[in-house]
Amino acid sequence: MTAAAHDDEQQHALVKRADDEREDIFKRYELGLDPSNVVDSWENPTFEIYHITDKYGFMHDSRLPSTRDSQEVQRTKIELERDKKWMKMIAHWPPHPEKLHKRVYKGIPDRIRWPAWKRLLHVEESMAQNEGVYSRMLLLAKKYSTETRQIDADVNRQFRDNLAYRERYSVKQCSLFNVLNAYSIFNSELGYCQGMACVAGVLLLYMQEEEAFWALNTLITDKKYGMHGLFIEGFPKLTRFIDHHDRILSKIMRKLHKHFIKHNVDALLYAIKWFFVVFVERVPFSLSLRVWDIFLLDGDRVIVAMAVTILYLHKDELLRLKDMDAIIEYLQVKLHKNFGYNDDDAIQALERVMKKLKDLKLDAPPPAKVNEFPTRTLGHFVEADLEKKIGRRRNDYTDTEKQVITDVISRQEQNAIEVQSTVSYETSECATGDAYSMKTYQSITSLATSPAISSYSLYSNGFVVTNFDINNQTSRSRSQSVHNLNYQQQQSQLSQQSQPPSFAIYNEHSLQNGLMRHSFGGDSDSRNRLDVALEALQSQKLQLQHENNTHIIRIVQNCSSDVTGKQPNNHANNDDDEDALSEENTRL
Amino acid sequence: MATTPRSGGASGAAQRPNGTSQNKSCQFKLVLLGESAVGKSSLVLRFVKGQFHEYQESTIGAAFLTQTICIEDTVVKFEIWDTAGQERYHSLAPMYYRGAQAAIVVYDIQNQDSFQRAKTWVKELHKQASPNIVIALAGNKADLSNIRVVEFDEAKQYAEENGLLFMETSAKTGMNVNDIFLAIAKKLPKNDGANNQGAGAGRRLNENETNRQTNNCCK
Repeated sequence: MTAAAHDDEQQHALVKRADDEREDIFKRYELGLDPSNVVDSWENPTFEIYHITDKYGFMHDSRLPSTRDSQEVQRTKIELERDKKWMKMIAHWPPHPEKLHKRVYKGIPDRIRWPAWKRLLHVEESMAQNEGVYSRMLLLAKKYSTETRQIDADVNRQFRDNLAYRERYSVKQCSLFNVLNAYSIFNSELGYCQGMACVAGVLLLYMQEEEAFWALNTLITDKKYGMHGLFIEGFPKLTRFIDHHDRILSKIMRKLHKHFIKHNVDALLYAIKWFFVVFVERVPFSLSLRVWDIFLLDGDRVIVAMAVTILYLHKDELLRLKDMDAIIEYLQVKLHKNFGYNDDDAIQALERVMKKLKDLKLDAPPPAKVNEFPTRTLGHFVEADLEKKIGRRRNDYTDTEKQVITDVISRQEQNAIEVQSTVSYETSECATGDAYSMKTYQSITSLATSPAISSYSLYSNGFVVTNFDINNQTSRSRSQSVHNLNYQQQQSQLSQQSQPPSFAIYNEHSLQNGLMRHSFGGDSDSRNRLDVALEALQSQKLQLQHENNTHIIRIVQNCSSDVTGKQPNNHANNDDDEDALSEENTRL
Repeated sequence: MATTPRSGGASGAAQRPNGTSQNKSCQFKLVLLGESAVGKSSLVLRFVKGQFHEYQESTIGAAFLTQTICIEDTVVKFEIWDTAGQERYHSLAPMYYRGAQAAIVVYDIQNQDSFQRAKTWVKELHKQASPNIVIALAGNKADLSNIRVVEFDEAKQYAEENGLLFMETSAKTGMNVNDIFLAIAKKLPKNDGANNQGAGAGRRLNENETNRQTNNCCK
């Protein structure tokens, strides 16, 4: 065949194709709405995914608002400005720490998260130093990983409500599968633990496969994040952090702590997921990203502080819930759907709590033990033993596991003892003379809206109103009634150190009686509340009044002048709070 | 043995202020155990909320839910502890099954390993949990029985030999889900003046709780 004839034939074929296509399209229009006319679902505006998917790719139960309100428009404008600043900053890395701090706390713009997170997690350095390692690990995993079945089960259900992970064996699902398998070989001591799929899943929303692998490695092995200790057998870091969390609660949120103990709400139950996946799927995704930004900058103490922040912001609502079921539902489900505070306000509260914890020297848990870090060389291939290979369950607990069981059970028993104490606490003056309770200013349930709206953070209600009584008379009666309580002596050293001298006497006295408050003297709670409040005053308007030896402190963010004119007193201030807040609300 | 105040407690007919007696009500702690991805959370979700999610997120640590049912003249409230299935979380399990009056050990009928693991859980419960614990074995994913690996008779025989309740369930279709909880509730002791401390008896609800609970069951 000549070249000309060949060209001719090709042309002919192209013409034929065009003809067929035209005919086919015409046929479709002729069929019109006839049911035999097959239409792909995305061709109609009713295709729900268009309407229910947020900017992070998550699909919601109901449609998102179709128009953006003025706040949203404003936010977009601000974010565009921030994009530019961040681009510059990333080009001149590392930036001045103060500048970086300020900008990260404001939130890394979503488009910048890819380069910014990589910088914060030293991804490019790791990749440069470990060329070829990832693909080698992946090859080894294909041959030897013992975690494949578990990883497969978890990939199959991780973020399936996100477009990226929605389809089985989609690009992101495959990447997630690969990263986790490769990592189980790279850090063979750790292998794979449920929770890691979520962490890697978030990273992969912003990174390429190999980048996510090294980012995950930084989170797991870098001392700053130390997630190895969370996921390793026996969960040594989890127990260390939970203990610390309890310590903080018993110090600065004593009432809530008692409430939790009374209703059998163990921190192990609600905080495990908070700590393991850094609040993903426990607060709205947009807020968890903000927490991640800060976590990547400042490390694991952010986790401690965020846990406290959540409880602090929702304390009143939690105190109103009278059974374990409702409390757990609130912490595990409700807050994920609607946090009740917009992201900026929540993060501002987090920043204040971090500062407060630092002042109280509670920001960092006790130092890690060696078992929280890898002892084997990373990337050094170790073939698994037979039991692991065939996935057989060991017949007995390992020593580490036995230790965990002992710890957990003694913890339960301790709580059981405290429940009994709480009962007597409630009948004592401590609880009934309740000048300590914060005025509930707004029910979260009244804010309940569709999850779509909450993830857009349309609400701004971040103000705090506190009143409390540090009248000496009251504190004495409080201390007295504490003697009714059958608390175990615990942390006495700590409480001796951190209490003001006048309370040390009370401690000595109670020690002689063999009785000791759980952790801190009757007044440390109110003192710490005061500290928290005072700290908030620095950044917010306030009015402070002295009346009959009672301090009433009111803090209203952006407080209007009408409020300042009021003269609250100890009994009437509830109403005043309400007024102040309703004014505030109408302004928002 | 020591129990937390939530578990155990007397049961009996509650007296209304006017002296008339009403339905008895009991509260039982129930724990779900079994290998990862066999459908523990899905069974609970079906039982408590009547829902099924094809892609139920993996349980980190444990979840806690409650559901109330009525059998005969008794209101039974289940406090359900749904545990994480991965071996790694095994060491946290005693925290959940301790003081439990009932357990559902779940396996996947398509997965022989998960059945073996269920047996290990049963062994551990017999050894470590309360002696009176009522154990049910659930062969889940029964809607996929055409690709089953674990035979019904094999599991049934094992259950009989070990004194377990046994049902094949499907969280997806709802098959036998309520039934297995109901069967457990029937088997649990609800008699008056039961041992206060032991794990054998459910905790009596107080008047308020009872009234509230009565409203959302016996529909």
